[in-house]
Amino acid sequence: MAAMVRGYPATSDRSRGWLRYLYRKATTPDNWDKDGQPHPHWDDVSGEPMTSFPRFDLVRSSYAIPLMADRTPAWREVYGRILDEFAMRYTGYWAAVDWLDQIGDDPRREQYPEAWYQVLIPPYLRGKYDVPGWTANGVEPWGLQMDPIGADGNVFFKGDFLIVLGLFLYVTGDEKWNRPFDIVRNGADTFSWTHTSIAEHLFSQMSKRPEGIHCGNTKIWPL
Amino acid sequence: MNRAGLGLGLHDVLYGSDFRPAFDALWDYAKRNYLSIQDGKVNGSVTMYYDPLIPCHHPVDGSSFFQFGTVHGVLPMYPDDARVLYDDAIDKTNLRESASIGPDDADSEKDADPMAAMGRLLIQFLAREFGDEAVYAKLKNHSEGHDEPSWDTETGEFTWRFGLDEPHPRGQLNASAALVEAAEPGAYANLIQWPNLRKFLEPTVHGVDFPKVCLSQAIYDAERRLLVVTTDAGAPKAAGEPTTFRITNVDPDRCTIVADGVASDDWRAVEGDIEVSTTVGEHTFVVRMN
Repeated sequence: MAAMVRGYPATSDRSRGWLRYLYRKATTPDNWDKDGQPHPHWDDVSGEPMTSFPRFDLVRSSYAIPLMADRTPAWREVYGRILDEFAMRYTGYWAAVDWLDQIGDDPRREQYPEAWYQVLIPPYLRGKYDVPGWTANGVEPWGLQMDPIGADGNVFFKGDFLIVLGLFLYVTGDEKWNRPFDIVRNGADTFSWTHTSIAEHLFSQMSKRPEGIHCGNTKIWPL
Repeated sequence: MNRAGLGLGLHDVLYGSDFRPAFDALWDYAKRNYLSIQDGKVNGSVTMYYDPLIPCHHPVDGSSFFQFGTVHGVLPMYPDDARVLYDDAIDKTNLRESASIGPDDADSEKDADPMAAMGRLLIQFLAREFGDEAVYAKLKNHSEGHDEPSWDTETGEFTWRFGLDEPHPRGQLNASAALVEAAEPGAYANLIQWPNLRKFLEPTVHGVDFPKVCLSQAIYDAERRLLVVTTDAGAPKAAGEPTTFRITNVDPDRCTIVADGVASDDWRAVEGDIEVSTTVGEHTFVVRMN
């Protein structure tokens, strides 16, 4: 039986084994800028067509971190390092690749797998409608907007980023991500934000649109 | 949208801002117009997404995974509403009564689909969070037999392989399984409802030689004025090697340490912190702040 002081919480053997794996994954150098490529251990295949992009691995992998850190509240340095690595990657081109590359309507509208039509698209719009997950940057009513946070839509990108930044701060107490940082970093498509300016922008958008903010254009999700 | 609300909620908790009211209004709208939540029940269709340009409410219908996703997104902000949506989705999947083990997943063939596994793990996490032990136990039993939990005995790393013959553990599925492993009743909701912010002022361990050494316990008991620290077995090839860690937010002149049940002098004061010397392996430390 593992050593422990009775009466106090502990992380499980499996959680610590997972932590060792995730730490190696998060600290293995790679380049999420446009001229780079995420390491193949970042999952860009699960959940097609909606979450088959590497940033969803960052977001989903973030959720367990504060729960584990709350089991060892007097030791959080490793959890914070992992979340910092996630946030850093979230600023890269590849984190927003769906918004930056999926311009206009999806040319594959008439060739989707049958399951997508069955579950994800209204029957009367078959072949004439973008599947959820196709962000359709540039379509009406917003037009082309290359800042994935400043855009009128793309709420899942900015909302998930707020979560990653919030969890980093919750675990570390370090306000480093409230200093200006650049996202996308692709020439003219370079945009400066802070943790709080993202929250202010989202608050403003929510306040103006009582029915909700578009996720991929032109869909509003309660999810 | 709900995840954006959680992001704003975390910002409010941590910075003392007041962004939440915008999401409160949006959630109220969503309950009435997208989720049919009324008088503590779901009374009508649940929207997967709404397209205001058509306009069209595309319903969740049989794809309850999306409803569980909404539960996950909103749970820390509105635990009661999340429970209403959860119970409704559980009823729709007939999970309590049938042999089914997940959304859209009534037969074993579909269970081989990695996405079905992700949906099932999401339900398992929510069941644990809500204390729905019957559903949790049913899904845990299934997960143990199907998700291929795997130890790497060389590195001490643990992952789930899901029967996939791939060079790297599938990230999003592993994230879901790790979330289940870390879950405790109410722990996720507490990020917003009862966030632990005292930890920033309390004695804190740093400088652990991770991944060679990992802490399984590290918590300050303010009432008894003691810090509990436990090291795990460590990386497989490092057992017995000397190592150190430090403790900050303490007064070294007022501290005593009991290591593995015995009073210990294997520590020193360094730059206002305590540096504890030990070896890689399972050890307990109780640091009393006298």
